[in-house]
Amino acid sequence: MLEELKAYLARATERPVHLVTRRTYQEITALLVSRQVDVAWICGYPFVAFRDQLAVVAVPVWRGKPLYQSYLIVRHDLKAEALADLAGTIHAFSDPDSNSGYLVTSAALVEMGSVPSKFFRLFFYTYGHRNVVRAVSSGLAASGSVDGCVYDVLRETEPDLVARTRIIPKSELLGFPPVACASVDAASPEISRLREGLVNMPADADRRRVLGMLRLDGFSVEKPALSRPK
Amino acid sequence: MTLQRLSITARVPLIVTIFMMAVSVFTSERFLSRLIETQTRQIQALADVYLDGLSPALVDSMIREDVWQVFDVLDRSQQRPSEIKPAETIVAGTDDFVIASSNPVRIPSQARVPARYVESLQHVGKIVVAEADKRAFVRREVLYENRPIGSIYAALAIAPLLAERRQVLWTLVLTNTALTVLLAVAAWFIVGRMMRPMQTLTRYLERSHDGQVSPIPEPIVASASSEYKRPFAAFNRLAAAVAEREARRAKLAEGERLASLGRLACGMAHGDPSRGRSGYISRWLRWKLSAAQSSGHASAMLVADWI
Repeated sequence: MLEELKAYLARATERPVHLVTRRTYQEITALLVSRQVDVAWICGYPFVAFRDQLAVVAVPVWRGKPLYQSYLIVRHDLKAEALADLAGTIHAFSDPDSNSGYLVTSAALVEMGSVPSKFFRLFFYTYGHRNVVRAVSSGLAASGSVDGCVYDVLRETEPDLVARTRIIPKSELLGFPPVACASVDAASPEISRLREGLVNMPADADRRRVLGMLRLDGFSVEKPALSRPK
Repeated sequence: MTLQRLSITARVPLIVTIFMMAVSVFTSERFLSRLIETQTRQIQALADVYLDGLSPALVDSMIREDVWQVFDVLDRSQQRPSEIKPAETIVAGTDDFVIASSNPVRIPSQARVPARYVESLQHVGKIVVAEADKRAFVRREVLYENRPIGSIYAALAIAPLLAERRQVLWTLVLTNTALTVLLAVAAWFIVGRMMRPMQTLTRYLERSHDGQVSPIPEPIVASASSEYKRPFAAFNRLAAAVAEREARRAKLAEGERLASLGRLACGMAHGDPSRGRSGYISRWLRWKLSAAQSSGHASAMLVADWI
C-alpha cells in the first residue's frame, strides 16, 4: 500500500519520494519542524503546539468530513460504562502527543479534577493506535484511548483483535490529523503540487484504490483552525 | 509349589520369563533415565536459546520499566515459529514486581511474581521440571553494565516431550513383554522338543511294568540326538537281556515240569503201591516222554531211561 502511495506522490510532485517512519509523534514533529522532512502526516495536537512553525497541506476526508473522533475503549468483560468507572485501573494511551490517543482523555480527567497519574493505577504509552487496541484486547490494560478512525478500520481488517474490546464513550468530532509542512515551505511549488495531487486523488480509479486502502474518501484543503481545540 | 517340583518344560520358560522381566526392568529404567537426562538437557538448551534471544530485546524497556515495550517483545516472541513454546513469560524488576507478562489477565503488571516461580527458581538459569504441570520453569537475571535490572521468568510447555517419554515407556513395555512372551514360548517349545526322547524312553520303561520290555525301534534310535543314542542303546541292550533271561527262565521251568513227570513215571514203573499202577498211565507217560525226547529235552531222555 505504501509503495503505491509513494509512487503516486512521486508522480504528483515530479520528485522522488522517500517515506520516513518514526516511533513517536515527537520524533516526526521534530523532523518536520527542523525541515529534515518536507511533509508529515501528524496529529492535530503537535500541529497546534507548533502552529507558528507549521502549515496545513491537506486534511484527510473520512466518511465525507475532515473530522474524526477519539474512542475510549475497554476490555469486553470489564464492567465500566464511563471514564469515571476506570479509576484505579491500568490505561493505555497511544502517544503523549496524540490528540485522540492522549489529549482527549487527559482533558476529560482534568475536567473531573484529576490527572492520569492519580486517576489510573498505571498508564503507559503504546506509540500506536493499533497497539492500544492490542493492549486492551490482551488484558494488559483495562482501557485505552484510541483514534476512532483507526479503530473502525481495525474492525474491518482485524475483527478478532477488536472483538475483545468495546467502546464506552466516543468524543465529540475533532479535526482530522492533517498533512503538514514547515510554514516557510507552504508556498513552494513542490508543496503546491503535492497538495493538488492529494486533493485530486479521488478523480482516478487507481488513486481511489490507494485511498480505499487508507480507508479515506480523499483530501481537502482546510484552515489550520480545524485542529484547534474547541 | 516350589520351582523344583515344576516340570522342566514349565520351569525353563518360567525362569526365562523371570530373567527377561528383570532384564527389561533394568534396561528400561536405564533407558528412561538417559532419555530424561537428554530431554532435560534439550529443554535447558531451548530455554537458554529462548532467553538469549529475549534478554537483549528487553534490556532497554526493562531499564525504563516500559510496560508496553516489554509486552510487545513477549507477544512477538510467542508468535515466532520456534521449537519451544513458552507457555508463560514474566518480566519483573529487581523487586520481583511484574513489569509485564505474556498473560496479563492472569499475571497483571505491578503484581508480584507468583510464588511458585520465585520459590522453585532459587537457582538462576537452571530449569526446574514440574511434570504434573507439564511445564519447565526457568529464571534468567538480566544485567545492564553488570548491574541486575530484573529477571525473566519463563514457563515452557513440555507436554510434547512428556508425551514422547510416555510413548517410549509404552514402546519399551510392549516390546519387552512381546520379547518375554516370545522367548518363554520358544523356551517351552525347545525344551519340549529336547525332552521328547526322554519321554520316549519313559514310555518304553513304563511299558515294562506290564512285563513287556520291548526295545525302542531302530528308526527312533537313529533319529535321536547323540546325547540320547547311548541311553536308547543301553535300554535296548537291557530289553534284549531281559528277553533272553525270560526265554531261559521259561525253558528252565519247562524242564522242571518234565522232570517232575519223570519222577512220577519212574515210581509207577517200579511198582510203588502209593503211586498208581495203571498200565494205561505208564503208557501215556512213555508216549509224552518220547514226544519230549523227540523235541530234544535231555531230562525227558533221562526219565525215559529210568522208565
